Amino acid sequence: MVERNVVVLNLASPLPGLDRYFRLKIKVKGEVVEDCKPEVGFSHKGLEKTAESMIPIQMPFLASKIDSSSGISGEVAYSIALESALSLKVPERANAIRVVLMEISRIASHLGWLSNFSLAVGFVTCYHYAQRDKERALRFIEILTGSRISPNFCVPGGIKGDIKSNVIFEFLDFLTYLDGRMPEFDLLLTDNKFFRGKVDNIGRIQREHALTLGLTGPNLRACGERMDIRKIAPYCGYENLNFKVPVGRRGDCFDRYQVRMKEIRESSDILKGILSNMPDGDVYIKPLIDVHSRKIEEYARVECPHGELGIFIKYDLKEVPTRFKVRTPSLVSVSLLRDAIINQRVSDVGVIVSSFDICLSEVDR
Amino acid sequence: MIENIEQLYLKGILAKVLLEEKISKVPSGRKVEVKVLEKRIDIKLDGRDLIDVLMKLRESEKLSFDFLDCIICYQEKGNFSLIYQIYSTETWQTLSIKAVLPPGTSSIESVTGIYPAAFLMEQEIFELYGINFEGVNYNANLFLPQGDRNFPMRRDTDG
Repeated sequence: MVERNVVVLNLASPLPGLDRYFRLKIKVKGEVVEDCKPEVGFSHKGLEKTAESMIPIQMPFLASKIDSSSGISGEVAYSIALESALSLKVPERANAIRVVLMEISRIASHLGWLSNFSLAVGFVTCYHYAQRDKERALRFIEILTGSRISPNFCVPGGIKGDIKSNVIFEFLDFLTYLDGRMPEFDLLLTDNKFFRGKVDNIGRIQREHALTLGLTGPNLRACGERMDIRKIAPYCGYENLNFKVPVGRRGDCFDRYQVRMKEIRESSDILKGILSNMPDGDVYIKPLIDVHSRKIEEYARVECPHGELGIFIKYDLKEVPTRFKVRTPSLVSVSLLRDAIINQRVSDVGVIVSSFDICLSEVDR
Repeated sequence: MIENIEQLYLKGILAKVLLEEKISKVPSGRKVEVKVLEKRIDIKLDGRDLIDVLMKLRESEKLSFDFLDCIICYQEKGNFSLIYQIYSTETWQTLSIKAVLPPGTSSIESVTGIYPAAFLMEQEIFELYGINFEGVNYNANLFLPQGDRNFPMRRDTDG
């Protein structure tokens, strides 16, 4: 039976802020969304199966393809897992440069998200400003690693290159520039009543519900749960760094925006601290990666820009892994979309989807 | 704010000292191996005892492991094993529970009743490995084309 005033819409390409294809089937009655069904898997890479034919030195390249906005997170997670299993000690300078790369990736990812989010809300000026600053952040990743998106720079035992002193000064200049830009974003968005009208109390998620479904990262912190892998299970020397974990209260689109903006500031502070006191020494110890002589089973997790990225590796007396499993945060965000979208207006769907910062490269791994 | 997190983390480390004893008491009469490592606690058990142990771990006030992070499935010599990564949201202590399925079987009880987060993870494992989760029907595929039942990650031939 056909219901009156009920329309089924298939949203795919019109959704801003997504890097790959994704289908959202929504049932709309009048102006309100009654039901919603997300569908993923349109660009599945089969990464976990591909890994089963790769030796350890090839794996960081593959791991950098997990997250399209922060390739270094996957590399670090894989390296930590193998180093932990083989009891390898990484030089302090290598760990410091890993943190630098992860934090600048976080800044670039959040700025990229900000540009897409502001476009979804309808603030084109902010889109251009955020893209401009994101490109500057990516430029530093390129100077350090030679690649903007998937660096292939972090390997078990350290990193592939060192950071030069003149780059450190340029880096610090960029961070000062970014600090000057943040009030500009506040002026354009945070203090703008038209922006607030479009994001306040939209797409709310309850903290208990988010925890039940396994949400992590800025989306969970926006609900009021102070959970950050860098604090609860520190890695790469995060235990020695002093930084805050920003949280929201209501779990709506504005809180998700606010948490990410505060994280950019925190990452900037972390970078300033670590670049001013960069430890000396080597950046790479040539490790003995004897995965073929012992059984290895290890799970490592890092805080990537979207949440908790976990990598499980299992080696059974072979040079290639028998199992490589990736736990990605964006898949959980997709599963929570339904709860956030139902009973909202159809005009807000784009804003809500964009506010979750879903990385479909992670989902379709 | 920072002090709270640090206190919570320290509390977690201190609690870990007593945790091994508590966890060992939970599965009364079951054959369970508990091993405390530097960063996590490993538990190895039979797949048939999984639900009982998980229920007790979640509901016990002193433990409350209530956050399911990830389910990992792999095949070893033709037999399936599932690893459940679980946290306590109070102390953020990590628990890694390895459930070994009896040889020749590919069926285990679903944990969606205890952890709703398991729904997507179990669906993915069903698609890729063909593990049957009792109590839930996973008909629609998440990643593979609809109706595809080839289970691409299975290693039945090479053991």
